[in-house]
Amino acid sequence: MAYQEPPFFLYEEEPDPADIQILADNTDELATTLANAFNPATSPKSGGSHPVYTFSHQAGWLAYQSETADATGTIIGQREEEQYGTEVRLPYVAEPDVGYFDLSSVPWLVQGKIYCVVEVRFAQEVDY
Amino acid sequence: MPYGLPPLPQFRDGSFLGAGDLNRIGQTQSLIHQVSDARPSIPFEHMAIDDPRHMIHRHRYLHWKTTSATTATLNLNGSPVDTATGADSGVVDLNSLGLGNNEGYELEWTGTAVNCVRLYESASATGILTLPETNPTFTTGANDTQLNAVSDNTKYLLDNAGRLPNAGFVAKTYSGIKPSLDVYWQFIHRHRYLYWSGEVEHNGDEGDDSIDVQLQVNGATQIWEDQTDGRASTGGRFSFWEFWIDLQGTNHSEGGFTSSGMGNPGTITIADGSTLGLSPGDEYQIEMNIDTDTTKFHVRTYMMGEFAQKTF
Repeated sequence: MAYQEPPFFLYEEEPDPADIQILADNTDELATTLANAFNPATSPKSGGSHPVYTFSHQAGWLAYQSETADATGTIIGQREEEQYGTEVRLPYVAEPDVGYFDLSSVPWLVQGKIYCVVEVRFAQEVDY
Repeated sequence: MPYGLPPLPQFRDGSFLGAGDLNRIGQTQSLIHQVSDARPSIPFEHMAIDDPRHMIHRHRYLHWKTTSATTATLNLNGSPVDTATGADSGVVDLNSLGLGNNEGYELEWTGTAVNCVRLYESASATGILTLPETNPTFTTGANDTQLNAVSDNTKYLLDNAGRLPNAGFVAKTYSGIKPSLDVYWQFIHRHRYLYWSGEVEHNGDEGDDSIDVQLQVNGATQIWEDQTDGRASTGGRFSFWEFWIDLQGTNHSEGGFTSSGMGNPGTITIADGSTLGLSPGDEYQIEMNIDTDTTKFHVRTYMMGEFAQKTF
């Protein structure tokens, strides 16, 4: 059974058992779907040049580790012609700490926008 | 509570069944579904000896798989956590290692040789998420045990699988390679559409030989190709390409552009993605082959991943 958007229950009405059943069935469906969802290890920086992390923007925060104190990490647009004027510097975070950058502070970063993060040891978008 | 949501309710017989409690369960399910739907499936680039990778800790189980190895050791922050012998696979329970949520760590194989094709964290040790409560059937009404089962199951999904991060793809440039280069990525199939973007530039002399970039699935089925016959008198060739391949059918899309009239920015060569026969959870390999008779070129990958929806 496919996932169904949960019904909205009204305060003054007795809940319909069929609507509660949707909530129950959804847990089965979500368990099946999410069993195939993983947190992958990053790809290597070897095997090619100019490696950058590329994201389709979905989550609220960028969790990252800085490469070095001199190379603190930068958020830029995907392609070269998109990069002018879009640079956002990430604060330096000393290893082994992980820094969190609030992506809602980047005005051009709308949901689904593909963008890059350069000069970081690793990076990942997280919600919390 | 993650995402700023209020806690999930607990129900008691004799108490008023509030619509707000049921709506909180529904709201949480919507969010979990949204996370599952929106997060792309990002492939894992095959890994060799002394080829470190990084992880931000989110889930309990670390899964690995090798297709060829003599005897190799998987190290986490420099300490051995498992051993592979030949074509092998395993699961490491990370709970005993004391890693905190979002703590970064390094993974590396040591030994003589290895080809690791799977390295990821999962909420499940087996590929199955087992809900803590049996799901009830609601016919004429609802009691507290039934409602708490739904609430507890929803909480389990939020706490375990709903913490899915949004992983990035590592874009790279490949240049000066002659006669060929192969790069391998491994997918766990989850979404309908395969997205790929990148660029190829031929910057050699007039009459230089060709560059051929191909993508193949499982080393058997070509799905995309960009071929240029060499630099013409009109100049070099630069093309940016992006496309969506419908892994369940024929609803493909191609974008991109070419800077000169020499061909096009690649062509999808599979008519119907369903012929790949992929089901959710299936593992498959994408191979990028670059064959060239010149070193005067570069190929740059931008992004690759499976998505639930196309954006063009």
